[in-house]
Amino acid sequence: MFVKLENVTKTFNEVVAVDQLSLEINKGQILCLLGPSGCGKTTTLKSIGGFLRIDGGRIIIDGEDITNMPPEMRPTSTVFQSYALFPHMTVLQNVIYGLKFKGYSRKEAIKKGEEYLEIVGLLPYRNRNVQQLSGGQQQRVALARALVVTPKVLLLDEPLSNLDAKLRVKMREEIKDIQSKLGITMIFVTHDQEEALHIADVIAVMNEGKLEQLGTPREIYCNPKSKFVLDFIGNSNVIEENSGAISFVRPEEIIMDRHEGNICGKIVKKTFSGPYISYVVQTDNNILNVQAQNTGNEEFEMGEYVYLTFKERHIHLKKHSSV
Amino acid sequence: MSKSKNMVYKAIDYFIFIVLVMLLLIFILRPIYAIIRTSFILDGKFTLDIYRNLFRDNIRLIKNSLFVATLTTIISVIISINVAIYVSLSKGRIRKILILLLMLTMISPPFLSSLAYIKLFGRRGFITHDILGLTLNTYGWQGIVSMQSLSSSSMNAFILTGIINRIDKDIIKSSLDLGANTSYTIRKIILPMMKPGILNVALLTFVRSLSDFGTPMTIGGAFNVLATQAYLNVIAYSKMELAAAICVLILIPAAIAFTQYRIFSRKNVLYTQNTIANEMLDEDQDESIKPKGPLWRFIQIFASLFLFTMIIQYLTIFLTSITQYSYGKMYFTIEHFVHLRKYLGDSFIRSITYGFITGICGGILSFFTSYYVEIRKFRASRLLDFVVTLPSIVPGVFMGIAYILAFNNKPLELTGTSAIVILNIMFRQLPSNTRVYNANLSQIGTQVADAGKDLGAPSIYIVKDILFPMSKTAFMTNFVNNFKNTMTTVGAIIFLVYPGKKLATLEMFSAIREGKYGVGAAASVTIILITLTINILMSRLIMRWKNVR
Amino acid sequence: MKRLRLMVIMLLILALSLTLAACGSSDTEDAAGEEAQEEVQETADEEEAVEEEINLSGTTLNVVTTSGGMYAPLFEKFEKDTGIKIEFLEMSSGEVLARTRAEGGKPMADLWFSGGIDAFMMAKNEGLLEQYFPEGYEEIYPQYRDDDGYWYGKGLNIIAFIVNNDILEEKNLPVPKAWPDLLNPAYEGEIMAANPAISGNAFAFVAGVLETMGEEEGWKYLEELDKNIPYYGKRGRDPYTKVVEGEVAIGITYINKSILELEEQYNVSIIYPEDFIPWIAEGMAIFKNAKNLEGAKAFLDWVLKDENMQMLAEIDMKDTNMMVKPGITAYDLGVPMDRFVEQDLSVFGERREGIIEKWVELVGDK
Repeated sequence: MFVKLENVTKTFNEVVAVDQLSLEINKGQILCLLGPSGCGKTTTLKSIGGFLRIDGGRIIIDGEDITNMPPEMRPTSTVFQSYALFPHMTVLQNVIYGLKFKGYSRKEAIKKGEEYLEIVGLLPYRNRNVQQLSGGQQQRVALARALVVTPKVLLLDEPLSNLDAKLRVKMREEIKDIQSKLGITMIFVTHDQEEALHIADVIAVMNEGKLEQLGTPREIYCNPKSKFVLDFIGNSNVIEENSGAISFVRPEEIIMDRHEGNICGKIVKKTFSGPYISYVVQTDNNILNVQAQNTGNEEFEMGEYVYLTFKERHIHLKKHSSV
Repeated sequence: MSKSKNMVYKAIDYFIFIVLVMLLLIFILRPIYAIIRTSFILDGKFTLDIYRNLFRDNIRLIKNSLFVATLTTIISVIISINVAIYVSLSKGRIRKILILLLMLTMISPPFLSSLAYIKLFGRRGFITHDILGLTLNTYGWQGIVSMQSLSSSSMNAFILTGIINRIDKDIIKSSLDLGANTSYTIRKIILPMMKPGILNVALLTFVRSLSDFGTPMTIGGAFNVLATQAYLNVIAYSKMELAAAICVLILIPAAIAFTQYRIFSRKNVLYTQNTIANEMLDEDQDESIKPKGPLWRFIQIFASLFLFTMIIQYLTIFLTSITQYSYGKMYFTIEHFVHLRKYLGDSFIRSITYGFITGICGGILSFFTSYYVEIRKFRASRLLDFVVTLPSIVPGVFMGIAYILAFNNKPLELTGTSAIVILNIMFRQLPSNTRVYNANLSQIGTQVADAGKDLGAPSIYIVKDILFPMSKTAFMTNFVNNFKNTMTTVGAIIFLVYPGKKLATLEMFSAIREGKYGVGAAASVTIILITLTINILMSRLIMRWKNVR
Repeated sequence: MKRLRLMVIMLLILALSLTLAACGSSDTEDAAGEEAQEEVQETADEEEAVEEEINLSGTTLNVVTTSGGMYAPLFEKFEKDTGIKIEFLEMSSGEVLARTRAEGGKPMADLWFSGGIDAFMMAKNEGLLEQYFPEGYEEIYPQYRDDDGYWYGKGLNIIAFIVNNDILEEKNLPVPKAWPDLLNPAYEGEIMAANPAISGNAFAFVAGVLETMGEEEGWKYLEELDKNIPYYGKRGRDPYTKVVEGEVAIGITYINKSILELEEQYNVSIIYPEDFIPWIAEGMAIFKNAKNLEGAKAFLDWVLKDENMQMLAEIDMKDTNMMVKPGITAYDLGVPMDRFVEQDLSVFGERREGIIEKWVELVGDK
């Protein structure tokens, strides 16, 4: 295992922020720490980066125990949420700042810095003051600055949260491209499940300082191990079964038909959102959210009675594990 | 980076820290201990006699002090916020003139400001009596509050302007671009971002007002405060021990104010994000800010009114320096300046030299203090911060006497040297210097420092490459503050300066003591001009200095 | 790297300059002064052998004084006559006492020149002064010198009224002629006096009142007067300053050259009370442990010479009647000697504390 967290615990004034967290990832993977605000994901990231001292447990990177190392000695570098660029330096000065502590000569440093600016597409801006750049550009400078020191693990703290929606999607693709080009291991903190599903090789869903589930995006989405994970990732309909167990079905896992199906219901709400059309269907026992693809031909109308069929992949959770 | 190199950097870091703590222990705690000790030791024995009825006997003075300090703080903070916003949102030539005015009116020559105030607003004041036909009683708490508020507001506004300047103009611009009106931008963006600055400025003003004895003595009339009483106990009643006990009494509200400030700044998470441009900024879009709206009008008028009052006050001093009276008739003359030549010479050069030393050394010292308190945040940092605040709580005269008591003997015999004067001025300015840096560094935030560390920079590099250059506004503010304070220092230094090593202010006072107000005003005008010139030159130099290698 | 080294060096310099400055010697100027003083010490040792011919020329005499600028010509003459350079510092008596006490036997100066005699008496009792009988000591009127030779009068300060004619006119108030006039209720809020604990001159006024009117009547007078005084000035110069500024109509003030000059500048008048004139002697003394003890002695010997006393009288603009020794013909200011209070000197010494205490009780912290 390339990165290994063993029982990491961190408390602030008796509030447990991270509780006995253990997880592992392989070299070259992107791990997303996902969870609502206050779940301990940023604390975990800061602990890996060395900005917080953990109260218990161990952090191991590439076989080396870094638990007690100061940040400047750790083989990690961070892209901060606010980028934390040095406002009094130019783009290039920002990028090569870390290199002088790695024993680079100034010439080599500039060469390497320019190489990385090329990668993030900012070479023409190298002598600009960072304050003259747009948010997306600053984000790239921060990325180049963190990458240029060739960390073993790149840490990203909600790096896209300050960008607008469109730029966010673009940047996340770029980050993924760069990652696959350089083969670098990344730990990425986000509260945006869609972002996590998109970018991650492995997702760690966290809640109240604890790890809820660790798995690939597919595992997390399709086989959530707890109600929390299920609720947090995607939408779902809760169906209580006679046995006392509960089952869940995702809106897109329900097939809607005018003529055949298991359950009958009436459409009480319809929302058009481009590629999808969302319906709310009132059945005898439940209100179900249904998401149908907008194929362009078949649409249902408000007030219409329809039949619903759950696809095989719906999820069963035992009652005691659900809460 | 190699381990051994890292050890070296660590050692340097520890060394600086230990030196810093030692300096604070020696030059703040030791003298203060020396003076407070006198209130507990009577005839060589420890006793609490003095404290027995201290509170009860001084309840009225305590109330007076708190009343004046609170009112002064509120008024001064309101004035300085308005002025700072006005200056910050102005542009072009107006802005330059305003900053110049602030730098000028920051230099408040002791005594003569009060004299000018009396000449303008006194019973037979030019404005109140001659123009408005009023006969007001200027003496009393009104006078103290007015003088203290006026004289502290320029400096406060200057500090706050520096802080607003650190807020990215683009944030303000984008807010205005997004259709928010000026009032909204000021209330929702600028004010919240100024919070750390406002808190620091308020604490400073409060504490300084508590310990100010000069203004109440000159203009308080029958209205006495603790600081004056402490001073009189030393100077008039020869009761050093009682005076020291009153100083302890002044320490209490100051300490409470300090803890309140700490709690408040912890509860309200102060703006700690790195404030650089947040949104796309097209070069062409770079339109200057055009503030408008009723709140902006109000700020404009309010700030102008303040500056106008200050200008009149300084004009009065200037006028005093070039006029003479003959049988009640005023005439213009340069005789005061001619006469001044007698006093000129060494003392002015000495003041300027001291000013440079305190400006630069004080800047460095306060930077490191603030760095360990605000950025490193180790366990005892709050205690350190409080220790640094002490010199402003203890009235100036007592810091003077404290320095003699602490340094008149081996192992640290400093009496008679220039060092004791410089150290005293410097450490008395340390509280305000550190507050300025605290506000500035807390605004830069720990994240930038973390980023540097993350890239492998040892602490000492973070200090020199990132934090120090990023906070050069604070360095500039402190230099300006220290220089002008050295040029106008009073109170403590009369106990520390030796014959033949006089400073410019003492020359000014000797003229005033002889009743030669014109000469005193001429000295004061000279002091103001020298200070202003050097401050402008230095701040240009500092602000132009960039970290480009 | 270079920059780092520079930074570290800068820090080291800062730290060193701060801590090493500790080790006493400050700058060259100072060192030179000390050398000179060491010389003095050496020569002082030889003094016993060769009584005369102490070469003090080139040494520096440090003086604290109430008004250095005014006495500068006198100090210059001293330097010319003896070769001893005088450096002076202006301090009020209260400041001198507070500082000398705190300095713990290492006084900031050698000589104390001018200031109310009450402070000198206090300093003598606290052991802050050096005993010396200068040449000319015998010539000083006995009431103006310390019997034990710790201090010597240099002249008298007298107390009188200063009035602002504009205000008197505007408010239609009479010009006060004598002390009882001040009790006129019409003067309410219009009279300024300084705090006698702070100002020796203000104390002279209180002492004079008690001496002339007697204890009982005197205190009654002060109590009545208190009603007309809005507050007591916290600096000796406050009473005349406030009158010039037009803040009050009448000030109870000491009189000297610069105050007399005010009459030529502003619409103010100085009035010598018809009934009695309080006075206080101004003192001179050597500080205990003075570094340039011989220089200080030389100054006292020198200043008591007739010609120098004459010059001092001219500087102070004192009347012949205000000199401490006979034979000095100074100005005729029309100061009527017959009105001088016949003052028992102990009032400035052992009785002072009691009087101050009673006074504070009377006025509160006004």
